[in-house]
Amino acid sequence: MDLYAEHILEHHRHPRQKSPIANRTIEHTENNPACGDAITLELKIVKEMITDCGWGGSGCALSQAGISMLVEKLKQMPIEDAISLSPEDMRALLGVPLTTRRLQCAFLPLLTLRNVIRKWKGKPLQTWAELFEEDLA
Amino acid sequence: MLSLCVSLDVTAIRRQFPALQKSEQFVYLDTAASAQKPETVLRAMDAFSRQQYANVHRGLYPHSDEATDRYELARESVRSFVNAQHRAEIIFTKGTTESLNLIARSWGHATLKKGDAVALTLLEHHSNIVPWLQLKEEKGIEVVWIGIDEQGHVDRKELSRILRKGNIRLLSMTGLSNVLGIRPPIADIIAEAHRSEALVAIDAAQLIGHHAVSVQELDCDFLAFSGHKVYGPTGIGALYAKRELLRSMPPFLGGGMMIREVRQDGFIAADAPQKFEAGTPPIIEAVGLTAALEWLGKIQWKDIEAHEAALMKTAYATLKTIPGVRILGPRRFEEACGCVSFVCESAHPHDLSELLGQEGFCLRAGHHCAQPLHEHLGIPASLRVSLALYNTEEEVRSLGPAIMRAVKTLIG
Ligand SMILES: Cc1ncc(COP(=O)(O)O)c(C=O)c1O
Repeated sequence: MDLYAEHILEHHRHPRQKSPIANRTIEHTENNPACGDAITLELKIVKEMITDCGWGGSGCALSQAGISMLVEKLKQMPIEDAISLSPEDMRALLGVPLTTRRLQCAFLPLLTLRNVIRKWKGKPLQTWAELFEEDLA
Repeated sequence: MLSLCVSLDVTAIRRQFPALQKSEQFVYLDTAASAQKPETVLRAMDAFSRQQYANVHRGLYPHSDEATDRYELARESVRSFVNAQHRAEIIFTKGTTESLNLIARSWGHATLKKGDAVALTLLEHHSNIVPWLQLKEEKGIEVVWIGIDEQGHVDRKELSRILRKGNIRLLSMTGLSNVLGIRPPIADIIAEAHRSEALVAIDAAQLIGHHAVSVQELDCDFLAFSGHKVYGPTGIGALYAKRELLRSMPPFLGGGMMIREVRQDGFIAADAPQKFEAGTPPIIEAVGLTAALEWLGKIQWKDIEAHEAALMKTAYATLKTIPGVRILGPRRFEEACGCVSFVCESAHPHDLSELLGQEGFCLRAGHHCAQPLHEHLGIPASLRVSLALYNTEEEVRSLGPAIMRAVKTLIG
């Protein structure tokens, strides 16, 4: 299958939940310095549960479709489940073959999610290197 | 209409590039990143590796002598190519990046003091920015930026004002932008900088493959370039520096080759250029570089310039017909050379580059190692078409419909 499969393009053209949310608990921005892609993710967290989320950002179709697809899954997800979403889960969610040159685009949504939760927990942020290592494992 | 007389036989030139003989579509528009290599370069490196290879300046046996001769012949090729006065003014490095770092680490480190300033333009590539920022961190020197207008012309008034401040010790600038394709009037700028007693380093990474360069005419103090952008191999480049400067500059890296004498408590450095060439140098690459410069030397610069100007004219005309495309840099194609970058309203550069790549069009997307420039332009990334003497007008023209197809795929 092609990187620009219909479901990717569809999310890219019609991004879901791409707006700020009311009463957010936490927000975090990650970017991809190589190409300027950026994603800001906002979560409302009630009793260790994501009760609402929204996002903003700009970038290539892959990173933007990826976050759009990811936020659809996040609502009503326990924080512990959200933080344990893996690079493999992200690959499965995107469902298209990824080349090395696009890995950062593909994983930017996941890194943003990881780090918005880590930030909320007061933990040090995850780095790209750590994420890639996990993907290789 | 301006007619550009083209007397370059592009078909014959293309035949000399094995990489351009693929059976599938391969439109290589990324020479600004690295050039493809002609057969003669590949053959020279291969034959030398098979038959004459040995380390240089070491063994007292015929093969080593021959390798040394070939290595020094490469130095002579570069000297003649950039029209330097002396062979010893040419130092081999890994490429432009190392050459620029060498200036900063050796000359900059030894000469610059707190309060001194190095001036850069907003056009610079990261390799001509970071070494100076490192010196700023280490020694507290100032890094002063010279602005550009919306087409990429260096702000000469600001340059003059900055030079008049009197603390600019070095102006380090590009001879040709790797993003906007604009060519600052370096000869004039060098003369002005010298009147203010500032030295000038030219990043010729892009310039070197598109126009004749004469360091004596320019009167620049340093000039850096990479072999792989002049149809030569990777792993080798050069730094030209005026002889008097090299005399007083301390060595860059320490090791074999760069010394005259080593004792337990100290060393005496060799003279330039060996002083700056520690360790086993890129010998095979030097042979390849010689072949590349010889090959290029057989083609007239005026023919290269005319051909590339015709390509640029086509590139501008092609890009201008695409809805939503905005060319960055000079408004007139006559002012652009080597590359033209653009953004497209409805499509991210990465997506375009990916989709074009699927059709065999090789264009680079990103910030092209020029983040301060992109920040100044207010865009995170751009797409770059770069042109070389092996490209054809048909290739450039066919990019238009390909971009439109890619945009259609993305926006539906
Ligand atoms: C203007 C400019 N300067 C410096 C460089 C760095 O050259 P290299 O990577 O060969 O060291 C490049 C290459 O992209 C360039 O375009």
